[in-house]
Amino acid sequence: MIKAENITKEFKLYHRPVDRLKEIIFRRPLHRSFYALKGISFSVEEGETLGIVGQNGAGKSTLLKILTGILLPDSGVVHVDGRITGLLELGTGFNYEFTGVQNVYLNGTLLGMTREEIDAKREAIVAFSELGDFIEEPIKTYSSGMVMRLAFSTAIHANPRAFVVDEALSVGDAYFQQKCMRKIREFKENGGSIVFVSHDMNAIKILCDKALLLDHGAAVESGDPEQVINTYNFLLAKKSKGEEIQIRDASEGGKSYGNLKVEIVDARMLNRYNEESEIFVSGEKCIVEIGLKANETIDDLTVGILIRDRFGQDIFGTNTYHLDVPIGLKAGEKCRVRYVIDEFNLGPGKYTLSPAAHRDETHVGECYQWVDLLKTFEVVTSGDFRFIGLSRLKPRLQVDIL
Amino acid sequence: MAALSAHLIWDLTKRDFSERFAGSILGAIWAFIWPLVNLFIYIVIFGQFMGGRLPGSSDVYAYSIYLSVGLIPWTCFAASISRSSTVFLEKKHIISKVDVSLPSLLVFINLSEIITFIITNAFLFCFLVVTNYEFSLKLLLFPFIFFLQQILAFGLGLLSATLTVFLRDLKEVVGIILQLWFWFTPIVYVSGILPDVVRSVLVFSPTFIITESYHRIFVFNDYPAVTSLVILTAITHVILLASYALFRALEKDVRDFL
Amino acid sequence: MIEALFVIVWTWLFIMAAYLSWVKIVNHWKVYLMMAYNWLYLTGIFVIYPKLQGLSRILYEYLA
Repeated sequence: MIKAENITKEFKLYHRPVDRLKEIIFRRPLHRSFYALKGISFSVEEGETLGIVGQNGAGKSTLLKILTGILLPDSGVVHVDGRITGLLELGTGFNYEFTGVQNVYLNGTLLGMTREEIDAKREAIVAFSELGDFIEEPIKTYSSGMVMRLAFSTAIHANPRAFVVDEALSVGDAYFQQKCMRKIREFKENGGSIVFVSHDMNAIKILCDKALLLDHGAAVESGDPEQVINTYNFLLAKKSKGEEIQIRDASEGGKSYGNLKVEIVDARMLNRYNEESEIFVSGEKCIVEIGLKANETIDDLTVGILIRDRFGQDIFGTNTYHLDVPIGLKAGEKCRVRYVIDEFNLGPGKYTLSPAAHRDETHVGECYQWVDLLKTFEVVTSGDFRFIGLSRLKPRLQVDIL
Repeated sequence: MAALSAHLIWDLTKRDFSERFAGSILGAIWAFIWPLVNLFIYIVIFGQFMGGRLPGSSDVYAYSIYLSVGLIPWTCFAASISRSSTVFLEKKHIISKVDVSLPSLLVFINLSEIITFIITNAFLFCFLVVTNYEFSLKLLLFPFIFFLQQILAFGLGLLSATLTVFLRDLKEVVGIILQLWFWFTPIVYVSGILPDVVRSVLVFSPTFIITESYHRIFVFNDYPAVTSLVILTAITHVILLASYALFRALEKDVRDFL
Repeated sequence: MIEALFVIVWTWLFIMAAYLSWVKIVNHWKVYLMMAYNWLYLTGIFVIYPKLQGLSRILYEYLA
């Protein structure tokens, strides 16, 4: 279990380090203060994963460093049951003149393992890293991917009760990444707590039980990852323009936000008979229709749609900018944007539709209105072709009997 | 607070040796060759070829022993302090990534230097046995005086390690102070040759008291000056306490600056 | 020989005291306590050790 109570961290910025000593001797402040964390509290139970999101400089790394004890907080308490290690410490203390095995011992010791522990897990570490005979070679002969594999293997076998992961799963190739993910899940199932920092919102949605949004060192929102990520999106939109944005509950589904220079009036989804529907047949025609009203004159409007699955993962999204159709509206004008999709090649399942109106390529620039989860719909397979998964890659089949 | 792990300290110490000689063919054997060469220089070059003699002694080896018992601990003392002064900066890559107790880094430096000291001393004792040196029970005090010396080195090392983070120039200052300090301590010369004025000041130098004690028990078969040692013990512990208190007060800043 | 005996007993005494205190006390102030122990330990050695020679002579004569 990881428990943080009211963590505050102030960085004092000095021109030169020696100013800190002058400050003590002459007793007058010579620094500018900068609060990296302001009263952060959270707890991660056993078997739980907490995702931390926030922009660069929001205080995420500082928080991780305080959790692992590298930095000391100005006030507040961190309580960790058992050993906490972090994947941000990957490969700490590796010496490139030494062999892989020797480095496992060096790194393991720094991660708090005893010699006996390392002896016992040595085989498992080597096996997991899949380095084979290379393990007896100096690691200066390794590729960088091999070094990371060794480092990850050692870290995950250090048997911590709590794990801090910082964007770390860029380790090696896709195969090894999946292996790492499996190992992390296993760790979680065995009651380990994980704190996970990532800019990959899908990863947060899939891995985390709850999330915490940091902004300028303060906890803006915490709780359900889906919710927190939506708030994060608002925040991103708000950041880029210092404008007042309005957040209001949409008629159906989740939240809506934006400065409402353009409003999304309605959204409809039509099936191949041009009838509004909530059920679509995979591979058949589907039309997504967005109705908008301009409250101000806008000459570069982009209208986008985003389809997510029931886990909140982005499945498909595009907009008029990418499709190269510029739209301009005068104040008070209305318009309708129709996405005609001839083959709606989604796999069977429940999905949501979120439309957005904004400027330029993404909603991060200036967002007029984004409505989360405006529509929910279901995709079913037709009788002629059965498959599983998220996409309908209808193949032609050839069988040659040789 | 990070646990002061004995296991980690020992591992760092071992690494200090193995990393120094990593990739070389003879490896750790070099850790024995260096002290041997140094001892050879002290005894043979200074003691014999250059004909150093101890005033009032007819023993040909007296000066060799005088020089060795002063110089070997001094080397350990000076190396401990100068290496300590930069240890936080040198181990930055570890400190900024894993939770290590910072004083344990100083413990490992001291330990590493003490091991070199013990190896050199083992050779010295071999030499003493060969030259029919008369061992007295007073030599039993030797480890304790040395222990006191290293506590002083630890205290001063912790002080300079903490301050060097804020003031990098301190590293050079520490080097110069140690160099001057060496020559203001009767290691290569006997204190008798000093003018009385200088001597009356230098008797207050901690290393003067310590070196004098080594000389007394090894060369002059006498007990060290008890009062001086007791006072020095008190002062050393005050220095240690003050350094540690200062370190505690600044630890947060040290970690922030690294 | 009494010197060696003294050193062993004295050292053992302080190691036990230091070990027990270190294990029992959780607060970081125990570091300062260790320093105090160390100070007492060394002072004891330096003060008592030279006195033992006289003592051992008396003891030796008494036994003889």
